[in-house]
Amino acid sequence: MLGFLNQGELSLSRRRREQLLFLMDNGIYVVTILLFIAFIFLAPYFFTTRNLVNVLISASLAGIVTAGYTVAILAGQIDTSTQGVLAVATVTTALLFEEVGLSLPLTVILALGAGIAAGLFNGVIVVNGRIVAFVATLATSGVLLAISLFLSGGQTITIAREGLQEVVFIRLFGIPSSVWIMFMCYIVGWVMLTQTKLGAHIYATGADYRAALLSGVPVNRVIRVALVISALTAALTAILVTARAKQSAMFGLAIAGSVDFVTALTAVLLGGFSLFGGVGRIERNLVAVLFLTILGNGLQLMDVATGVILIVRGFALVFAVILSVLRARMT
Amino acid sequence: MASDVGTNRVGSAMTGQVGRERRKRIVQFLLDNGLFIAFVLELILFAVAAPDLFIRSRTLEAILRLSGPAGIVLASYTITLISGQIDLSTAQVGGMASLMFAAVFQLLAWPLGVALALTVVLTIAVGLLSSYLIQQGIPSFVSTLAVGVVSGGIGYLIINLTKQPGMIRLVRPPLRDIANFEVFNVPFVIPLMFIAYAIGWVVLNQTRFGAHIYALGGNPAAAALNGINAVRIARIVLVINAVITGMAGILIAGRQLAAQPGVEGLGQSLTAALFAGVALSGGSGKIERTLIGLLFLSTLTIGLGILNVSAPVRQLINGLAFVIAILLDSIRQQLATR
Amino acid sequence: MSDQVILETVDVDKSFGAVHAVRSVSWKVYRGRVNALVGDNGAGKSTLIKLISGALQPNDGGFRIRGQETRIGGPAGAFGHGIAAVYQDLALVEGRDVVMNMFLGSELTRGPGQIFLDHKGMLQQAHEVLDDIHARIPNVREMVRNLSGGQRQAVAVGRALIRGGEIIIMDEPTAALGVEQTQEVLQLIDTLREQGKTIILISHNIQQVFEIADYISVMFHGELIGTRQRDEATEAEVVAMIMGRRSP
Repeated sequence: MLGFLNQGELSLSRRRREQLLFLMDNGIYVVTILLFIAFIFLAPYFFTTRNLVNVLISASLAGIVTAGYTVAILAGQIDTSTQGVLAVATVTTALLFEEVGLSLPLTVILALGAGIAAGLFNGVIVVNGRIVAFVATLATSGVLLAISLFLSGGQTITIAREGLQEVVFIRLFGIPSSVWIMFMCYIVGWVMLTQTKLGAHIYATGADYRAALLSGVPVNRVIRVALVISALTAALTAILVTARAKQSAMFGLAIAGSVDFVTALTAVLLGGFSLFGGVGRIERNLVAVLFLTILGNGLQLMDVATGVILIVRGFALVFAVILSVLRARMT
Repeated sequence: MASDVGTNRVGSAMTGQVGRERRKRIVQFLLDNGLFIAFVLELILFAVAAPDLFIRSRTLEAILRLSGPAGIVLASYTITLISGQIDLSTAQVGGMASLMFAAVFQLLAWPLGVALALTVVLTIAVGLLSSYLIQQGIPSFVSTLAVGVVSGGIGYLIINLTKQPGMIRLVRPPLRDIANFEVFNVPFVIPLMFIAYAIGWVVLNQTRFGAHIYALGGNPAAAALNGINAVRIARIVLVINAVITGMAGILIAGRQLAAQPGVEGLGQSLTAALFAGVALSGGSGKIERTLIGLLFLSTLTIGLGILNVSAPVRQLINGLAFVIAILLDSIRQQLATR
Repeated sequence: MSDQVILETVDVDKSFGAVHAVRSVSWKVYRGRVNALVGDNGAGKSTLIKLISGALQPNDGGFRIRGQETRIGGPAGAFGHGIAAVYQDLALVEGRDVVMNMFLGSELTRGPGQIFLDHKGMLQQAHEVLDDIHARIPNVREMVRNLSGGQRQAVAVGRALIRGGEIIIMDEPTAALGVEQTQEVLQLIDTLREQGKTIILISHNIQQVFEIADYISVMFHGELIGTRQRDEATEAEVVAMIMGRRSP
């Protein structure tokens, strides 16, 4: 429907096909390690404990969004509302904790609630409005951004109250809490996707919507759940980002290493997921997220211009999509 | 007796069907003409809410001025949409072009023609990149999204390289005068917009190329089987769209006296086109109607400004307009396939 | 019978990787007749048809059209030889009207440099062609979306005729149709034959083939098993051939 001009199967010898697929599947590991080594020599301060912890925290934040995003992609829904959800959740967190003065757990619960509400809103537009997720969430993202602007009055809300930032810097066995949270997200995600009926339904809906529908999979509910999960992880990330920066974050301009749906989409595609749902392995996303974070961090430390970082980001997405399409045509 | 019941049932079933037909016709009529009704209602509403501020020639001029560059883009955007491609890079390409132009024309002080030529070359390159990706089998919305990120990056890179504070001031004549140039007391962008629409209408309705654009958007497989070169059409359409978007970006920058990455006011193309009944999936829509869609949105912007509605609320209203536009498209698709 | 051969495939061969879809097929198509091609799923009918319509190129072998050895370069080349295919899904654009669909890809133009569409000329010619085949389409400005199955078939056939089609390939034209519309399509085929067109008909429906076809050719596992004249064959014999039993 949305303009595919060239979908023919690639004719390759079987041997060559297997070699290429192997390269696509495992190339990301090699490239990440090479990039890491390169930055040790090229980027000043890259290989310092302080910076590596920083990279780890940044990667964990992007990783949390990506975990939920993966679920949406698997269900065949390309969610473009991440930025809107992040904005609403960060403003909610800052407002409730600083201005209203709620307790930390209550703030977190309500901010997550805002994320769930945003996901449900997406679900209503996609399912009841029968609109392709990509476009529907593009529209809801605009609404969500406006709501966050309305709530915050267009101002950055600084958090002076103690007790929020500390949470991100708590370390357990020397590893920051956000990394633990990310791991938990992935474990929950992995169990849900591989061990539960819901997971099977998500794969089925993404792989072949019609077949799933005809075999009695509650496709509409599956799509709603997938969109809520995607929004929920975005909200969780927003809380952590807000806490780390001690202020409500601006999610307008997307810079490398920051969290938004372009990063998440790139990571998911680099992880071997199909743009059209149904296939993919969640653990490879982690490496892809790490790769993108290291790339952004290293370039920034090398004092590369913002413009160049953005261009690199754009081409990373281009590259990831081309890989994804190639894979689809080869299998 | 039994047969009576039978005929009754058949009769009521038939009236039910007639009723459904009628309801479908009414909905169809509203979908086809609702935009005009909504536009008139909007005008009346603003006129009633702010009679002395809204009903003035200056307001009309402001609405048209706002619509000018956006309308030029919308004309080519509509054609792109009908061909089955969704271009999401408009704002970034417009911004990138205006920055490129401003850097060469304002900062380097090169001649106008050279600055324009360089900008055109850059936008052509961007259009070619989008079409190349689409040719590789990547859906247009993802391709143009990525190209949008790249274009935004090029825009920022120009700012970085020229060491400017987030934007480039654009005050060198004659551009300033061109953007505000008037023919018979009318800003020249307004006739330019109508010319763009006239060309767009002729291309779509009176040329082979236009017929092929509709066919490609409506059924790519059928178009290919009948010897229509999809790749070539997509390439031409996307390149022209990128170039025109770039030119409009320069016009807007000239009016605002500054070039910035990401042009505001071009992002409404999709909303306006969907309001006007162009299908998101391509293949159908009338270009002349999208002009009304644009005027509707411009009037909304100006009217809300006159009523002193705060910026976040205005943004919210614009966001909701987009949501409504895609819902309308969805309803239209469902009616068409029923 | 003294029927004339208009098109002949000569030892045509086509493989897709390991799949040998068409094995050295030499098939004669007779002028002004309905030439049916039957066979089980995967017997190679569609591939053979695509080779004739130029959508595929053979690995080996060639074609003799009106007695001359030729190549069919592609769909455009096939049009040049007067071969036009009506695809199973008809390749119609739902949101466009009957006229624009009939001229899809071969629009008439006028004006300086032939840049403008000749709407009037297309309308007139569409009417003529549809009248010739007795198609019942009240309004040629109607969108194809609102047409019945039989009417759609007429539009697709009209397109083939506008392209100058002398040999018209119809791929399962009645597969998705109801009884009444099937009759409409069979009448359409009859009308085409009366006008001297050659028809290549692919069908699953043996009864229907016996009702309308003059020649019945059977494919099995990529090979052409044989061709029978309708009057000399029995349904049982053809069914046996479809199952792969060669008759002497």
